[in-house]
Formats: sequence, C-alpha cells, structure tokens
Amino acid sequence: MRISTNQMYRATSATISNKQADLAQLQNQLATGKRSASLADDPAAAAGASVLRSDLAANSQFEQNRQIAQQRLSFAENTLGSVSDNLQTARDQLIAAGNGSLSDLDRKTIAGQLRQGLATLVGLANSADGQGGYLFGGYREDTPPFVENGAAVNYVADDGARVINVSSTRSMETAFNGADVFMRIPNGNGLFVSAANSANTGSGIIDSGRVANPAALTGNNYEIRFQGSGSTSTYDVWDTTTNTAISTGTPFTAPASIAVPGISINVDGAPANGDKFSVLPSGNQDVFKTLRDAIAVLETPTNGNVTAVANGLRASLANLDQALNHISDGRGAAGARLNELDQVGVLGSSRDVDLKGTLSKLEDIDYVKTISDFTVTQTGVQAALASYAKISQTSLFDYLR
Amino acid sequence: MSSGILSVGASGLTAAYTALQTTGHNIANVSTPGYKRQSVVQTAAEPQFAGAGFMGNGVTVSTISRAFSELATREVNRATSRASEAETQAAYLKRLDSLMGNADTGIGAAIDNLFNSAQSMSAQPSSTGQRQAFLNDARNLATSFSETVDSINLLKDTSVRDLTQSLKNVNELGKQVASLNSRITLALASGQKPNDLMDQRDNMIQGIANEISVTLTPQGDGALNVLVGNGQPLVVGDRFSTLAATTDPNDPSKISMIMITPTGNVQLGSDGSLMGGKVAGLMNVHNRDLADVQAQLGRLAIAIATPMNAQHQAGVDLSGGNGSNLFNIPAATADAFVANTGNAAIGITIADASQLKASDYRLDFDGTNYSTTRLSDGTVQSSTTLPATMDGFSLNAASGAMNAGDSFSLRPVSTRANGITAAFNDPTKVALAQPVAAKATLTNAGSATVQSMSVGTTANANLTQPVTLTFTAAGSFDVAGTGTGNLTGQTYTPGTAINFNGWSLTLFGTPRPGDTITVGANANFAGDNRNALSLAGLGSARIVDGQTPAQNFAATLASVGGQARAANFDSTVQGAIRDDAVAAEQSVTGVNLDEEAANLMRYQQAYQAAAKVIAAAQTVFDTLLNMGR
Repeated sequence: MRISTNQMYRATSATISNKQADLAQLQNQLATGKRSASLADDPAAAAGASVLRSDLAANSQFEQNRQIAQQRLSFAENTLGSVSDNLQTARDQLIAAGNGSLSDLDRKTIAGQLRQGLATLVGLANSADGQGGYLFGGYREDTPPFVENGAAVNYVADDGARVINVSSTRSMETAFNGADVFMRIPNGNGLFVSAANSANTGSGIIDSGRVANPAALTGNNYEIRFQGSGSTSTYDVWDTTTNTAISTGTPFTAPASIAVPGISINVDGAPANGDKFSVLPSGNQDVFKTLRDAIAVLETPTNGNVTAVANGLRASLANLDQALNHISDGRGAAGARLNELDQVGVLGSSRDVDLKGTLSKLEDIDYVKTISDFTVTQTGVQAALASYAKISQTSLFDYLR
Repeated sequence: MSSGILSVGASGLTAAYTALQTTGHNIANVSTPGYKRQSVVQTAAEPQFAGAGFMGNGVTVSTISRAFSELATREVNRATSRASEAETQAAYLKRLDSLMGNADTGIGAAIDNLFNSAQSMSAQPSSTGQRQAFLNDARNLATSFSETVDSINLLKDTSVRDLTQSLKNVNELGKQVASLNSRITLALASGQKPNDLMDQRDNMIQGIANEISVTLTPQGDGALNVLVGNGQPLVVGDRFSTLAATTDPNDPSKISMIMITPTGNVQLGSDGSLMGGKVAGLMNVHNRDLADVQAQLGRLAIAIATPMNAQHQAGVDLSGGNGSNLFNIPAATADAFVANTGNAAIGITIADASQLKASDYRLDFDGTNYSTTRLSDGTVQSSTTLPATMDGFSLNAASGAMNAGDSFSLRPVSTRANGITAAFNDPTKVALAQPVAAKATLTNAGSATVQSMSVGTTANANLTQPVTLTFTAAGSFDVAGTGTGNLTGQTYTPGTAINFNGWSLTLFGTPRPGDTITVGANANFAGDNRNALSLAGLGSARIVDGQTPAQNFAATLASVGGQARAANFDSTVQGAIRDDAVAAEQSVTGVNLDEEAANLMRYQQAYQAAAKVIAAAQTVFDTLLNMGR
C-alpha cells in the first residue's frame, strides 16, 4: 500500500498529539489528586459523589441539631433537679411543722418559709430556655407560661413538644410540657385521696390508706360518717356516688381500720359526732396548689386543736411526695433522652467517617498507580518523538547526487 | 529518413519534458490540500507502413491523468461529515460538562443548603438569624438555577452563531462549486480533463462535507450536482441555493433550517440528524442535548419550588398570618403551529409537581380527540375534551377553540428554571408554625398527650374550628365540632393518626373516660416549629418523579457525564474512521516525494536518452551531407 508523504507526517503527528494529551491529563490528576477532571471521565462516580456530599452535609446538619437538643434537654434536667431540691426542702419544712409542740406562731413562721419556696418554684417553672423562649412553655415565647393571679397559679402556654430532627430517622421532643410537669400531678396516693371535712370538731385523724384488693376498687366517692362519741362512737361508710351505704353502725375504737371497698384506711384519735371523712378517687392537682394548701393549713389559727393541722399536713405530704416522684420521673425521662442523643451522636460520627471514606474512594486517585501510568506514558511520548525524528530524516533526495 | 529519427527523438524529448514538468508539478504541490497526483499517459504514435513493416513514429502524450478513486473520495466525504458531527457534539457536551460539574458551588450544594437551613430553622424557630439564613439560601437556590440555565442559553446562542457561520461557509463553497462546474464544463469541451480545476472542486466539496453531509450526482456535461442533508439540492450545474437557520416557526425554543431557492423558501425542519456534518452536531446540541438538560433542571426546580410553596402556605408566620409563596415560578408556555386554522390559546398549569417529566410535549387535535405526545419517548395520551391532565400538568383551552389538524408545542418544564425567584425577604414572614394546635385538658386523669400534629396542604375551610375529642373509654372517643360530623365511638390507638378538618393529630398514652383533647386555632407562633419540620422534610421526600432532589440532581449529572462520555467515544471512533478513509484516499492520490524523486531520475534519463537520439539524427544528417563532397 502506498503511503503519501502527507499521510506519513499526518499520522505520526496525530499520534504524538494524542500521547501528549494523555500525559497532560495524568499530570492534571497528579496535581489535583482527583480522579475525574470532568463528569465524562466517570459519570457513575460523579453521581455517587454528588449524593454522598449531600449525605455528608445533612449529617453535619443533624449534628448541629443534636447540640441544640442537648442544650435544651440539659437545661431541663438541671432545672428539674433544682425543682426537686426545692420540693425536698418544702417537704422537710412540712415534717418539721408536724411537731405537736409548736405554737401557732412557729407554724406561721414555717408557712412564711414555704411562701418563699413557692415563689422560687414559680420562678423555676418559668425558667428561660436560653433561646428566647421558656423551658416549660411549649410553643409560647412572649410571656411566661405560669401566671400567679392571687389564689392560684395558672398555666397559660400550650402543649407544644418542640420536636427536633436529631438524625435522618429520629425526631426527639426537646420540650417538657409545663402542664404535665407541674399541673397534672395525681393527688393522694395516686389512686385515691382521703381528707377530713373542714367542719370536723373532733380529733379524728385519717391516714392516706392503702389498696387492700385492687379488683374491688370501684372508683366511686366514699364518705365515712361518725356518730356518737367516746365509747359509743360508730361510723357509717357511704358510697356517695351511688348513694348507698356500704356499712352502718360499725363501732369505732381508735385506731381502727375502716373497710372501704378495695381500700384499707385507718382513723385514729377521737372523732366527734357528725365528723365526716371523704375517700375520693385521685384527680390532678398542681404542685403550687399543694404548697398553697399546706401554707393555708399552717396559717389557720388552731385554737388548741391541732387535729386539722395533722390531717392537713398529712394530706399535703402525700401530695408533695407525688410531686417529687413526678419530677423525678421527668428527670429520668430527660436523662434517658440525653443518653439516646449521645448514642445517636456516636452513630452520626461514625457515619461521617464512612461517608468520607467512600467519597474518597470515588474521587481521589491512587497515587502509586497514577505515577506509574505517568511514567509509562512519558516513555511513550519520548518514543514517538524519537521515531518521528528518525523517519523525517530519511528521504531519497539525500541519496541522489 | 533522418527527419523520421529527428521527429522520433523530438517526440521523446517532448514527452520526457512533459513528464518532468508533471513530476515537478506533483513535487511542488505535495502540501496542497486536495491535490491529486498527476501522471503522464504516453502512447506510441501511429506507426507508418514502410514495406518491410510498420515503422514506429515515436511517442505522444495522450493525456495527463489524475489519480482519482471515486469510492475513496466518497468514503472520505462521508467519514468527514460523521466525524465533524461527532466532534462538534463532543466539544459542546464537554463545555456543558464543565458547566454542570462544579461541585462546590453548583445547584447540588444549593439544594443541600436550603434543606439544611430549614432543619436549623426547625431547631430554633424564633431565631431571626436562622430565618434570614433560610431566605438567603432560597434566593441562592433560585440564583444557581437561573445562572446555570443562563449559561446553557449562552451555549445555545454560541451554537446558533456557529451554525450561522457554518451555513455561510456552505453557501460560499456552494457558490464556488457552481462556478467551477461551469468552468469545468467549458474546459471539457477541449477534450481534456481540467485536472486542477477538478481538484479544486473536490476540495470545495470536502469543505462542504465537513459542514453538512453531501451526496454527489454527476450531470453528464462534467458538472457535479451537490445534494446536502437529506437530499436538498444545493448546487445544480451552475446554479446554487443557499441555506439559512431560523427559529422553528412551530416551537420558538428550537432552531430549524430553510433552503432559499430561486422559487421560494423550503422548510427543512429542526431534526439535525437528517443533516449530517457540523450542522447536524450544532442542531442536535441546540435542539436536543442542551434543551434536554434545561428540561431536567426546569423540572427539578419546579418539583422543589411547588411543594415548598404549598407547604409554606399551609403554615403561619410570626404574626399568625398565612404563609405566602416562597418562590415565584414563571408560567409554562404553549405555542400554536403556524399552520393552525383555529384560534385557541392553550394554558398549562401544574397539577402535581411530583409527576412532572423532563420533556416537551405536542398537542394534536383531529376533530374528535386531543392527543398529547411526550416528545422524549413518544408516549401518547388521548382524551375527548379539554382540560386534560398528563404527567402532572393540565392543559386547558384558555380561550378560543382548536380546529381539526391544529397542533401546539407545549413546554411545561423546559424554559422555566431561569425565571424562578425567591418571593420575599422578610424573616418574620417565614411560616414555620401551624394554624391549629391541640391541647390535653388540665384535669385529664389519664396520660393521653399530644405527640405530633400536621396540616395538609389542601385548604380546608374548617381547619381552625374548635374540635373536642372526648374519651369514653381507653380505646374510644367521641368527636364534636363544626366539620367533623360529630361522630361517636371512634377507635383510639396510641400512635395512629386522627384526621379531621384537614389536620392530622397523633396522640400517645392511655386516656381515662371523661378525658378530653381540644383542637383549635393556634395562638403561639414563636416557638412552633411544626411547619418548619414539614418544610425540612421535603428535602428527603421523593418529590421529583420518585426521587429525592439530591438523587435527581445526581441523575442529571450522570446523564450529562454519560452523554459527554459517549460523545467523546463517538468522536474518537469517527475520527479514526475518517483518518482511515483519508489514508486510503491518500494511498491512491497522494504524492510520495521519494516516488517523485525516482520519477525525476527516470524522466531525466529518458530526456538525456531522447537528446542523444536527436544528436544521432544530426550525425546521420551530417554524414549524408558529407557524402556528396
């Protein structure tokens, strides 16, 4: 086959150009450390890298979210701890107030301390969350969630849970509902609550009672009515919901265990004729009211009869114990969420490392291989140049005289 | 007798001289593009009968022939057209590749930033700084879309300029071929082939083949008729037509070609593949490849902006006002075909952005059925009336009516990505809260609490009506309130959504009989992040034809990269085929200097030998003259 002179030059110069282009591309790879200079070099890797980068960005966003969640939950846990201390102090004060040798004035002094504790408690309930809102205020940020208006403390915020996405698969509530924490606390012993009627004149003291037979609990309201006094003291147990008598005319000697369906409850002391005691199913009572009731009991003059104080303090202590348990549960929940956040955080960090590793595999060059490719291509270019020089030197004209 | 030798010698001298000149011509033109080597064809002169036999009379040069292989030349033209089409396409796709492939600042990063700042907003909903950051990211997303699409439009403009230049070249070359045709026809009348003129003509034709594919038909009188593209006559004898590029009359986003003939304009269509050569590459790049990417980006932009708008409108801002649109989305366009006889104007609205496809469409009406064709794969959907819905958008006759045979070109997604803008800049107007809230009554004895609540994006007139759920047992409740139908005995399962009036409420815990949950208008907007969570959630939802936004953008990158890669391969392969074809032609027509050097030696010796013959004739004549003394 004939080769024209043009063809010789054209073919060899094309080969040299191509080899030089290859060399330039390898040089670029070595300089940037990246495998692909363009999408065309490896479209699948480019697409994969794009999605990986997106995942990495989302991953670090969730880390930021976790920090905010952690802040809120830590704040809440600490505040609940302070609330717990506050209630514990109040409890100690109530127990001290139960000492029978105290005078009205002494009790009034303790009541004053309780008042201060209550004010602090309201302040704690209205704690700021460090981000412009309130810890226990749900979605409301402009006014504090707990408002005192004379006789009561009201919750004026909402049930907002302030959910934050802490990972791509987990959302976490970062708010503790003020109503749940401070307002919806069961009274009594959680199942039923006993109280002495405020008009009682005797010295009968009723205790908190305990469940004797869970199956027999009816959830109805009961009343224990005393007649007579001293050795002729008897009592009736009435179901005031159905208005039926459970038992009547049972003789009473203190201390006595009174049979109310499913419940065993003790009355001690000497109830007067007409004294009544109620046993009601538990409802919700806010902790502020519990403290207020205790303050009221301690501030009422006794006129020598400390029975009302004893009954009132016993009821308040039962409610306060409920509150303490409730707060402790809340702290436990906060602690559990913080633990979970830590675990999610650990997972997030290791995912970050994984993603970065995969991205590097897709994008970065293997230096060893690329350098050896470069050396081979360089040799190829040199060979092409040398052979071109040789070919272009030979011509028939050189041999003609 | 001696004059016989003299004339024989002289003929040999002349022949050798002609051959030497032709060899010199070859050597001189070794680098002339399109030159085909010439050689002298010698024939023995007519012999003379001289009694003892036929006496030779020397040599005549019958013609100077051109080394020409029609097959090889045709192959070269064909391969040149294919190679330049592939190279043009590869070059443009390479520019598109580098446009789209910038990882740090492109659309992919902007999408990530938007949804990540929505997440930040959801963690701190009342923070003005976070809200402002989100609005900035929304603006950045709109900008990155519009900048990318604008750059693609610039590429399109460049391709149109290149196309115009290319067609100018074709027209100029066509004119020259026409004039060469007439000169060659004239020269052929002399009985000999005008080799150099024919070389020039072949060169011009190869130049045309680089721009557009050619088919040659000889016209008997030596002229070559040049048909281009799918058989359009560019040059017929000495007459030529010209080609021009115009906006496609039926679809303003496309380029089509017309041929301007003495009898009027002929519309050649907008399908580049019929044309071949650079023209095909440029038309395909403009009408198909770049338009494709614009459609994909447009679809992605609308598929993100539309649900973001809807979700934002379902929420309320810091003052309790309903959210407005986050993004302004420009309207889709529909254009009537020029041949339409009806007076309809077609409007396009988005019905479900998550079903949009990255394609243009055509609407045809045959008198009974309205058929909508998806141009990317030819799928057709028919209905007997308008409005009709297909692939997430709906068509309606905004005014007038279509006649049978009318058609419209529809662009629901193509040209819209560079018109999207962020609608507002006031951080207090970002709607992160929801208009309704649920509350467990304080006196509830049970433990049922509100876990989560969401609001649908379809407007419900009773959304903020007060509704009370009253539990009659741990597992059932009654509902009362306008719009609920006041149903009784509804089943309650913790964690299962309860839906009324357009909201969806999930409760947790165990209620006691008598417990109530109330739902009503929300009054606390600052700390409410529920709509922010919904907005952020769109980033990982499959809102783009079954993919998440990040997945869809990655798919677009893969598609651009894959096409660029394929175009590179094609360009390499077609280039190699062209090189082979050129080599094959060159082996027939090319000048080899060493061969010509050998020829020089040969013809030089022939010349010297013929001169010696003349010298011998002179000696004979001298001898004759000296005989008479």
